[in-house]
Amino acid sequence: MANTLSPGTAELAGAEPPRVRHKQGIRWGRIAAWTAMGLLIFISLFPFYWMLRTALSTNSDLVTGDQSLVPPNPTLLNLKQALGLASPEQLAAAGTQTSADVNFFIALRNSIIVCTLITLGQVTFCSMSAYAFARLKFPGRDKIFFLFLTAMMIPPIFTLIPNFVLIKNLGWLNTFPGIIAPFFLMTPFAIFFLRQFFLGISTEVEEAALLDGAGRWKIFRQLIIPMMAAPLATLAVLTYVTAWHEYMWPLVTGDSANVRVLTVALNAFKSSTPTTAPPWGPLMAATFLAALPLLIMFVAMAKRMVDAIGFSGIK
Amino acid sequence: MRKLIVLAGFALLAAGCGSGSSGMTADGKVLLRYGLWDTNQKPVYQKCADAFQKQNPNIQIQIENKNWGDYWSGLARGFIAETSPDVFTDHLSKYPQFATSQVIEPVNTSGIDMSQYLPGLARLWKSPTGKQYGFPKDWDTVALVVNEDMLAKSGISRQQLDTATWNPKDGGTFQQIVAKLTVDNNGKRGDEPGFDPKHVKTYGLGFDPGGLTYGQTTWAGFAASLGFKLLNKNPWGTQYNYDDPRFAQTFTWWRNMIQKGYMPSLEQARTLGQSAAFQSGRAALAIDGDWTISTYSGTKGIKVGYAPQPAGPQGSWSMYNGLADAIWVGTKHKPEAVKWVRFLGSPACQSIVGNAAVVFPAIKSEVPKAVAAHKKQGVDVSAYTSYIKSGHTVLYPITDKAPQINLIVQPTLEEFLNGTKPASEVFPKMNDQVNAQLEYSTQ
Repeated sequence: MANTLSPGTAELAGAEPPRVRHKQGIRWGRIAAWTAMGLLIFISLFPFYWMLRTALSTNSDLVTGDQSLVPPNPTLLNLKQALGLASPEQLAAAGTQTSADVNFFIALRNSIIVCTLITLGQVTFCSMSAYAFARLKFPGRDKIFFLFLTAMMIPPIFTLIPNFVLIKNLGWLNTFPGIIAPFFLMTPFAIFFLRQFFLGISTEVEEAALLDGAGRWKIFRQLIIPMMAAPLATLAVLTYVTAWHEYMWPLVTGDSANVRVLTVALNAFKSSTPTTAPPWGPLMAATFLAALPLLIMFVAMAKRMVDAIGFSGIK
Repeated sequence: MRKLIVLAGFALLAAGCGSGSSGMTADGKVLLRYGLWDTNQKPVYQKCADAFQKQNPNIQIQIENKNWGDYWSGLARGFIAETSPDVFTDHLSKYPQFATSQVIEPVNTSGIDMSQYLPGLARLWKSPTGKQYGFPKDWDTVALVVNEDMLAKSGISRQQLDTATWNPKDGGTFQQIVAKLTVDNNGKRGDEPGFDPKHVKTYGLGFDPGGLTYGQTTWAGFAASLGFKLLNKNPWGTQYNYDDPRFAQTFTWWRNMIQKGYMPSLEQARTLGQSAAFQSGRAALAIDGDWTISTYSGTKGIKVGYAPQPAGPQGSWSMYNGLADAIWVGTKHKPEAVKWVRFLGSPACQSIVGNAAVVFPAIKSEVPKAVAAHKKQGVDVSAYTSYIKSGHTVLYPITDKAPQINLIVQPTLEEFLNGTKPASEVFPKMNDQVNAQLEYSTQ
C-alpha cells in the first residue's frame, strides 16, 4: 500500500520545477505506466470487490442474475451467518441454510495457532540452516544443499499420502502437531531464499567478530539476525500467507471441529443437499472474513517491510 | 533457545486440546457420533436421540452435520484416518461400495419385523450375498413443485396441471403448460409468437442437473412412464439399458426443452440451483423430492403447491428411494451403535420422524402421521404419496461400481445436453462403457 503511494508523491513532486530533469516526452511514458498499473490494480482488486459485493447481496438477488455494481438490497445477514449469529428461521427465509455447523471464531483461532507456529518454526529453523549452508564449512555441504534444493521440484501432492500415513501412525491426526508437522521445520524455498541473503553479507564483518572471540552461535544471534531483519520479515509474511491458504493438508489431517482451520471450515458453505447450489452469499461473506486478517496484517506490515528493505539497502 | 522451549511447550499444549476422540464423554458415558447431511432433519433426529438417551442413560448421541458436498469425502477420509462417525446416514448410491470395501457392518434382522416397512424398501439394502446393510428409516418420491401464483396468472388451473399428459414427441399438455409458464424479458410467454428463448425471465420448469446418471429429480419418472427400466433387475442389476430408445427419446425431449428456452441451460441450472431459482421466482415449476418440502413451502411471498409428475402413456411415475443408517466397522462401541441403529429403524423413532413432517417414515403405520402433520401446516403432500398408492414407483437403481459408472454417465449426459449430437450416436456407446465396467467387477 505504502509503496504505491510513494511513486505517486514523487510524480506529484515531479510536476514542480526543482527536481525535474526532463520536462517533455516522459509524460507519455508515465501515463502509459500509470494506466498499466491502474489496470493491474483493477484486475487484482476487482475480484475482492466482487466478493464483498456478493457477500452483501441477498440470495434471491444473486439468483435472479442481478449484475449491478452495488447490491440492490444490501444485507448483513450473510456476514452474520458466517459468524454463526443468524437464526435458522432467518436463514430459511433467506434460502441460505447449510447443513454444517459453522464456528467461525474457533476456526479463526485454529488458523492463527497453526500459522503462527508454522511461521515461528520455519523462520527459526530455516535461518539457522540457511546460515549453515552459506557460511559453515563441512564436507559435502554443497552436495547436501543441492539435494535439498531438488526437493523443491517434488510436487507437494506426492508427499501427501506418505506424510498422512506417518502422521496417522504417530497418532497425530486431528491434532495441531499433525497439521503443523510437515511445515514446521524447513522448506527448501525458505532456505534458498535466506541463503542468498546470507551469502551477500560481507565476510569481514563476521571475521572481525570471530577475532573478538565470538562463537558462531553468538555471531548468528547477535550479528546476522539483526542485519537480516528485512528478509526474515519478508519470509515470515510469505510463510504466514502460504500457511493461511493451505487447504489439502489440513483437510485430510485436521477435519474435526476443534482443530479445523478457516480454509477447511469454509466447506460449511458447500451445497447442503445434492439438489441445491452452494449458498454463494454466505460463502463469499465467510471468504471475505477469512481474508480479512491477512489484509490487515499486510497493511500493517507493508510499510515496515519497505522501510526495512530500504534500510538494509543502505547498509 | 528459550524461544524454542516455549515453542515446544506451545505445541504440546496444542496437542492437548486437539485430542478428545476417545469415544467417552467427560462423565463416563459412551459417546456415539452420528453423521447426517440434512439441516432440516437434524432437529428430528435430535428428538430421537433424546428419547434413546432416556432409555439408555449410559449412551450419549452426538449428531454431526455436514453438507452433502463434503459429507461423502469426509466419510472416506474418516474411514482411512479411523475418525469416521460410529453411525452415519447412508445412501443407496453409496452403500454397495461401502459394503464391498467392508467399511460398514451388516445388521442383524432377528427380532425385527421387516414387514413393518413399506414394501420394497428393505430389499434395497440387502446385498447379493443376503446381508442386510441397514433398516429403512425413510422414503422419498419426486413431484412437481408449483408456484401457484404464477400458475393462476397464466390462466392454467390446478386441475389442468394435475391431469397433465406427457409424451416424448410433443411433450403433451405438460409441455404446453410449461411453455405458457415461461416468460421472457419482454413479458412474452413461451407459447406466444415473438418469444425470445435467449432472454428468459421466468422458466416454466426448473432443472436440477446434479444427478443425471439416475435422473432422480429429472428424467427418471418421465422415462418410467414410458415403461423404461434402467437395469435388467434391481437391486443388483448386471446390465444397464441406456441404449433403450425410450431413454433416448426422454432425454432428447429434455434437451429440446432447454433449447426452446422453457428450462434453464445446464450452466445456469448449476450455478443457480433449482430450489433457489424457484424461490426467487425464476422458475414456475420444479421437480424435487419430498425431503425439500419444508424448503419450498417455507418460501416467503409465494403460494407453493405440489402436483404429481405428468402422466405418460403408462401413468404418472416417480423414483422411489430411501435412506438407512450404517455402522462403521471401526467403531469402538459396536453394541451401542447396533442399539442406536435398531432404535432409528423402530416405530419409537419413526413416529417422531412422522410427526415432525420433514421426511416420510419408512414404517407403514407411521406414514399417515407425516401426512397429517404436513396438512396441519397447510401443505398437501398427496402428490408424493400418490405413487405409493398406484404402485407407480421405480426403485433407486443399485449396482456395483456406481461411482465409476457415474463418472462415465454424468459428463456424457451433460455433453449431450450442451451439444447437438443425436442420441443414437451417444447413448449406445456410453451404455457399452457402463456395462464393461460391470462386467469386470462381477467376477
